[in-house]
Amino acid sequence: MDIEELPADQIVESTFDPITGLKAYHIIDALTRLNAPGEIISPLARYLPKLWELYNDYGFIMLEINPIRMENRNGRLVPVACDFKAQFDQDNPQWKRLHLPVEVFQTDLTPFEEEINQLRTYQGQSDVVIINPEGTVTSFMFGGGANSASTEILGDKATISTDFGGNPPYEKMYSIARIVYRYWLQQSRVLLIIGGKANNTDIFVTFKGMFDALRDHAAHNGRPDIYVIVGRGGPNLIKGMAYARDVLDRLELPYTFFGYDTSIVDVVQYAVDMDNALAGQKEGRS
Amino acid sequence: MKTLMEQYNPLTCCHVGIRSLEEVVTRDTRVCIMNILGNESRKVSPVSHAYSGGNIVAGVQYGRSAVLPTPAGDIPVYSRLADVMDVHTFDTGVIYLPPEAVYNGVTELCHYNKQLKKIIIITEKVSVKDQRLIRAICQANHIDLFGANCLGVADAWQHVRVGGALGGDHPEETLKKGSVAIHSNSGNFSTTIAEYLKTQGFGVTTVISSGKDVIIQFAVAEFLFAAQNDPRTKAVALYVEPGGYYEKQALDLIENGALPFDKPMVVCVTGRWKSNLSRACGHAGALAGSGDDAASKEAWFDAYFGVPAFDPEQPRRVSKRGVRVASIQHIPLAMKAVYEVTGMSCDFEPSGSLGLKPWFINNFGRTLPLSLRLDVHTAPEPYAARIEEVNRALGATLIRQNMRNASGASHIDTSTYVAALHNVPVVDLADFSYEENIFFSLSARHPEKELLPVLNMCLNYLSIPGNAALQTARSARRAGATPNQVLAGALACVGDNRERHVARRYMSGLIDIMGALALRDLHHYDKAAGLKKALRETFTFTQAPAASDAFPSLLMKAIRSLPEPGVLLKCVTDVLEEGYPEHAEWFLIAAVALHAVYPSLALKQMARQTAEDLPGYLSVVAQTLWLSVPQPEERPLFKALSAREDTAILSRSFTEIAYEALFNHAPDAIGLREFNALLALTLTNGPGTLSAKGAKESVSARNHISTAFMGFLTNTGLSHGGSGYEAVQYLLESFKGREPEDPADISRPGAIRELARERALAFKEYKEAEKVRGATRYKRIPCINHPVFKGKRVNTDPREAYIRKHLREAGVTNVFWEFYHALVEALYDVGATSNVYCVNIDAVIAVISLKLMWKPWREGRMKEQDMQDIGFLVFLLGRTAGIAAEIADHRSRGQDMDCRTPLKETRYVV
Repeated sequence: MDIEELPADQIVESTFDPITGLKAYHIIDALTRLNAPGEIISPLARYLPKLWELYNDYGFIMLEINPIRMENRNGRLVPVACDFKAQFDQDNPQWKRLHLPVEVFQTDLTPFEEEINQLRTYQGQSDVVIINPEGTVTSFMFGGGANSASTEILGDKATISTDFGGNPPYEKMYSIARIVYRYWLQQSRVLLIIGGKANNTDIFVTFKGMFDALRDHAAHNGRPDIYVIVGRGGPNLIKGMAYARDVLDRLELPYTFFGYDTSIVDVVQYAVDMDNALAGQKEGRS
Repeated sequence: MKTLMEQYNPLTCCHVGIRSLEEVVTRDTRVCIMNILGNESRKVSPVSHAYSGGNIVAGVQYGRSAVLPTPAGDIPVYSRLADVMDVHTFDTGVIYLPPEAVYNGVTELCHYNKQLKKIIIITEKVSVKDQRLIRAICQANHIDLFGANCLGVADAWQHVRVGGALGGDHPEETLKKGSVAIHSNSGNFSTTIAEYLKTQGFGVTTVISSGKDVIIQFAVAEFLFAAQNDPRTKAVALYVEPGGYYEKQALDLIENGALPFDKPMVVCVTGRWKSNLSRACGHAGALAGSGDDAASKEAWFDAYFGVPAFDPEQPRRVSKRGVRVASIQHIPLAMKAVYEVTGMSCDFEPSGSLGLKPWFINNFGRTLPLSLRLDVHTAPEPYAARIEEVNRALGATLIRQNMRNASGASHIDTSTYVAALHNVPVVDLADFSYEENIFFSLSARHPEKELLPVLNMCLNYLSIPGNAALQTARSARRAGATPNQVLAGALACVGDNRERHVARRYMSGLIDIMGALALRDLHHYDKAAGLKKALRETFTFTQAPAASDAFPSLLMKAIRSLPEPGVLLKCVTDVLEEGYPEHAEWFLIAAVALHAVYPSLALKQMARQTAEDLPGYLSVVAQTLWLSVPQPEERPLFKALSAREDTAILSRSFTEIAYEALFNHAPDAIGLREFNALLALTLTNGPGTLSAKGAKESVSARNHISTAFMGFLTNTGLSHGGSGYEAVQYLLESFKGREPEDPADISRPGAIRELARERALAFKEYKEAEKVRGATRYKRIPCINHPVFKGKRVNTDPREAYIRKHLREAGVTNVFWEFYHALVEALYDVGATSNVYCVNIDAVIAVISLKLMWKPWREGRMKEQDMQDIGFLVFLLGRTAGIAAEIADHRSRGQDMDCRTPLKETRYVV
């Protein structure tokens, strides 16, 4: 049953105290307002509050049972959950106590995403998702805002969408970058590093991580055929850009760096245009 | 009874204590920070404190009492909140605790401080459950909450920021006073939008980074309520991401009249692409259901404004209520349009633009379409000055870190087990002379070949030790010290003397000059005039050349005879014609050394500190040679070098001089090649060797360079570096009575095989007898087998195989080496070993050393004891050059005490 399709008078929205939780009287009140048959009120009021215990004690962020059917067991009506939909809070480890089989969580994680996920700590973001396995622009995005804005503009050109904001330490940034390069650099024409004017992320530390990783990747796999575009602002910006410049000069990889006084949207668009131009050149060469 | 503020509160179900944005933070706000000494807070809080006129009364760091220094005075740090409450009063708590501790921190603040009005939670990844409970507690205690996962709040009018790092290290740059209030789901965009608004002449009132977790504590409705009541705020800018119904709630409240709001809004909603995702990427709360995705949110706002999204081509199409923009770069233009239709004017003259303005470009000759070809723009200050500075800076920028068991100089290739220095395998370094490898070790680049005579002059000049060091070496030798002990004792006399300080000062001055002139290539002479001028301004050239010391003039002459001296050496010698500085020899050595390593400095392959210390390193490495030789004063070569008068002798290859010093005869071409190979092979075996660890641990204790070399020397010994002696002894024993006239003669392979078989049988007999006797620690044949290269039918040490092939191709032969190979075959054939052992890399050192010492030994010019010492000394000389790289690396990357073993790794053994 699709809740959104029900008329408003058949839906009851009920609020309750987040400390004391969902109680039997919430269920009784709601069912009474809905004119529910009297024989189901008591069993539902008995069992449904247990949903709160499940929700509250096992790290759920959302929980939905739909539909519920009533089963007659030895003359007593017992509610049965016929379908169950839930989402866990990644930041609350309580769900691990359910000991659900790993397959439940593996359905939509690629090996790349899984490798990056292993670096997940509370210091610094490491969110990644694959946008287009055939993409040609690989990006390091810093901040949820840059992530949203850039991914939208890049569209199908993006191999991945990422958020590495939150001032990740050097080691984490280096490890992330090594994995990103290993999976995506070979097919990429443009490497884009994009973020607004960081408030707290140390640009030198993050740039050093990414460009040391690029240097080491090139040492093991040969020089990649990429154009590097950077749009960034924040603490230690020039020190970080100068470090990146020195590595790219040594590798003889072409680049353009923009500061915070250029719109990040324009920088991403420049990356898209560059990718189109390089695609044309490659076709011309072949 | 409801307070006055609550009577205005449109959100009847909850407490909102803030009536106007003016009240979010003020100059009277007093702050206490939980986990103030954490990584983030200890950097951010001092900036906030100084910007806000010193509003942080105290911090809490569980279990520690300290102070946090700031430009506006020290902030006291207490080990628990209860102690803060005894001394201070505050109305705002800021939480930087780890996510699992945030809920506890909130309860602690609420429990101890009944005057608390606001809590700002910076921490990210706080669980939804904890945030729910935090909200409930704060509501019950009438406390306004911001965050979690936010960057706090700031007020440009009152010059206050509380919580996180809005505006970064220089909040005054971004937070310019104006009339727009910002509420942003992205901490980064809250600042970026403020920055962008300046391009159309708009400043800000209050900036709120709301965070974008599932629960937003100070959401849009609360914000608009306070913005409406803020007389400074004329308009608001919202940055909105998918997920949650906070915006709809606010708009509904406005529409139904519960929330009186009539100021214009410019709203940016992003994240349409996120509707394809099944899990969060970016902000945790930006995962939408079917009704709260980006498209839905766009529709809510478009309906509210009554106009479609802002089109920069038709900027007048906005309503008095405002407009939605598709991307944040349109916010300034849209704001301008909204101000125009509502009859308001901007706050100040527009500054800058958001167009493409690259700061750094290098296309490496790549042809780009016209539309993509850009010119470098000057960045706004203070960034332009910093760019100028980095363009002039020389030397690598390194991050200090724990360098225990780590090295940025050497490593071992785990597939071949060949050690590499600066990524070049030591076997490849055998193609370079010892002097070239000394410079390579310190700069990661080999110097130009043409420069070698001048470099050799410097090394040979520096190689003559002082009397104290020579005397100490003599005394140590007399007392029966081992070669490493002799050298360590003598280097103790080297210390860090005044002359080396002079050299360091010269080097530093020269680097500054070269950096200031932004000279990237030494073979461009267009900046010669500027360089000479800078030299004259920086240094004092007053002294006449001293007749007693001819070295500076000899070195100048040698420099002038270089086919291409380069702009630095050319200018230095020109200026020296006018007069000498104090210690002219060090000035010249510094200039020559800088010329040699300049490409590495310019390409940031070496640290500036290493370059400044370069004369010091060269001095220690060079002196090691003559300190290795007993009674050098009696040697004609030493006397000639000490006189420092003869360019022909001074400019001789340092490798040749080293050979002659050790073996007491001049080398032939093959001997020199073998010696060179030996020195290269022993340069390094990675940072895990005892020798490297000794040096690194000494650096970690912050010692002088010469002391760090002593650390290396005292960490070598008869089982590390001196082990070749056993092999020499075994070979002498094996060849007894059958000593070859010429150790290069391998024309009788049958005889070699026969000898090997004899020795193999003898070993088998001995081994079986020992086993019968029950001995398990019987004496093995030295330098065969290896813990890694084993287990196959025929085993090979790739390092030995490589260098053997290399030397054989160069026509170098060695009967002892052939014998070793025949021996491992024979041992297998007679059943003494279960497979063919490898001949390992130590054998290479032994067979080459023995071959080089063969003639003087046969002629009675060398005793067996000397042979033992020389085998060890060859190792020490090679390794000294390699260790210089480890010391320089650790000095420029490591931290004090980083080689300490953590307590948990130590054991007590009974």
